[in-house]
Parts: sequence; structure tokens; C-alpha cells
Amino acid sequence: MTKKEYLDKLARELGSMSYNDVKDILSDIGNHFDESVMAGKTEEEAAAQLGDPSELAAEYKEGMTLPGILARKAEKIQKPKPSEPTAQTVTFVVLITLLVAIPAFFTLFGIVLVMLLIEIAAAAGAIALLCTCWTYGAFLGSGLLLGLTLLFFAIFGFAVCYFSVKYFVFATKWYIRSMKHVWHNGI
Amino acid sequence: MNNQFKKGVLDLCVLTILKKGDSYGYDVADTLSRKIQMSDGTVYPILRKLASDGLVSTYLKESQNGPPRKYYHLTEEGEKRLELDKKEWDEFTEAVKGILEDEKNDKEGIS
Repeated sequence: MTKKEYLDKLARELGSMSYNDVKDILSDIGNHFDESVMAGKTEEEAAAQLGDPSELAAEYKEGMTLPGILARKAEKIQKPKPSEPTAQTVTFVVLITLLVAIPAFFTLFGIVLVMLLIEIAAAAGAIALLCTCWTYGAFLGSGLLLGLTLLFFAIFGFAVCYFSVKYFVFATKWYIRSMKHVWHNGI
Repeated sequence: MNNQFKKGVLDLCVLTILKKGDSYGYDVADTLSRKIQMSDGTVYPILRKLASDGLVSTYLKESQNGPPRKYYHLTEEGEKRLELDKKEWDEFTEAVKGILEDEKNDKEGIS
């Protein structure tokens, strides 16, 4: 087999590989032929020593295709192996949770709840005041003003409440996640 | 020698050759096929795999006669792998030797 015949056959056998891979491989094997010839061998001898092109192609495919990629992926997945928490970690998580997280949780929860109640009261007061003014027609100016003020206060308060609840949930989730992380990976 | 035997060990051989100094494909193939009965071609898929795993890096270097050669260089990661694999190989061959020795002694004991 000449160099050309060998490379043609190899290229055919490599068919399923990407163009760049095939080009690279053919260049490597082509250079091998050139080196062999420079070392005083004939192309036939070089081809014989290289081995069957279809076998060579199979070896290339074995090394390059899925198994290799999968093996590397598997390595990556295996790495963050959750280890058993140490006594120090357990103490840390339990203490922080009992002394800081739980009191903070209930305090903040209480604050948000109180805020929400105040807003509801303000809204109810504003609506009642406006209705009263409307029905009786007395103190129309000052009543309307106070009622609208209360109403805006309520709307503003609800917005604050909305964001408070949102960030409260966010913070709680974050806390649980980071404690889990500490639990598995140490402090 | 059995082909399955060789396959696993050739990576180790190629890494060892590159540990001595950078080399190009033909040279590695020549060195190996002088000592182990194998096709020259086998070395190339191994080099390619080692390169894609980051155990060796490649660069082109002018040669005196002919086109530039693609040289292979053992990376730090490659050296680490070589050490680990060599240790494993030594332990493995020791164990196999031990088993074969036991077998021989047993047979001699019986006869």
C-alpha cells in the first residue's frame, strides 16, 4: 500500500469524525510516512509497520469519542461527594440556627406581620373615612384630605410589605442553602 | 503478547518516554516498536488521547530536513498521572509476580 492509498483508506474509515480531527490525523500519519521514507524505508514498508488502517481508525475512535468525554464528565460529577459532617460543623450549624437564625426569623416575621396589619388598618380607615365624608357631606375638605393621605400611606405600605415578604423568603431560602452547603462541605 | 495487556500499559510507556524529553510521533513510535512488538500506528491514537486529556501539549519545531515536526511535551498534569500510574503498575506487577510465584511453589511442593 502506498502512502496515498493508506491515507485514503484511513480517511474513509474515520468517516464519522469531524473534519478537523480527520485532517489532523491524516497529517500525523502522513508525516509518519515522510519520516519513514527519510529513514530509508519504502512507503510499503511504512504502511505495513503502521498496521491495518481500519484497525488504526478504530483505535482513534476508541480514544476520541464518547467514552473519553463521558469519563471526564463522570469525574466531574463524582468530585463534590458530600462527606459526613464533622462534629465541629454540626455544632456550628446547630448553634447558629438556634441562637441567631430562629430568633431573627421570628423577629422579622413579627415585624412584617405587624406592618401588614397596620397597612390593612390604614386602608380600612381610609375607606371608612372617605365613605363617611361622602355619605354625610360634612368636613368634606379635611376628611377627604385625611382619607386620601391614609389611602396613599396604605398603598405605599403594601408595596413595602410586598418587597419585605419577597426578600424575607429569599433570605430564608439562602440561609437554608448555605447551611446545607456548610453541612456537606465543612465551614 | 496479548493485545489487551499491551493497550493499558502503552499509555504509561508513552508518558515515560516523554518524561525523558520532548519527542515527535515517529520517534516515539520507533522507540516503542523497537522494544515492544506492536504496530507503529498504535502510538498516534494514544498521543492524541493524551493531548486531549491535557497530559501532553504539542508544538511545531523546524526539522533539518523536511517539514516541521509536531513535538509532544509532558505537562505537569501528565507528570502527576505518570507518577500515579507507575506506582499502580509497580504494585500490580508485584502482586501478579507474587501470585505466580505462589502457584509455582505449590506445584513444586506437590511433585
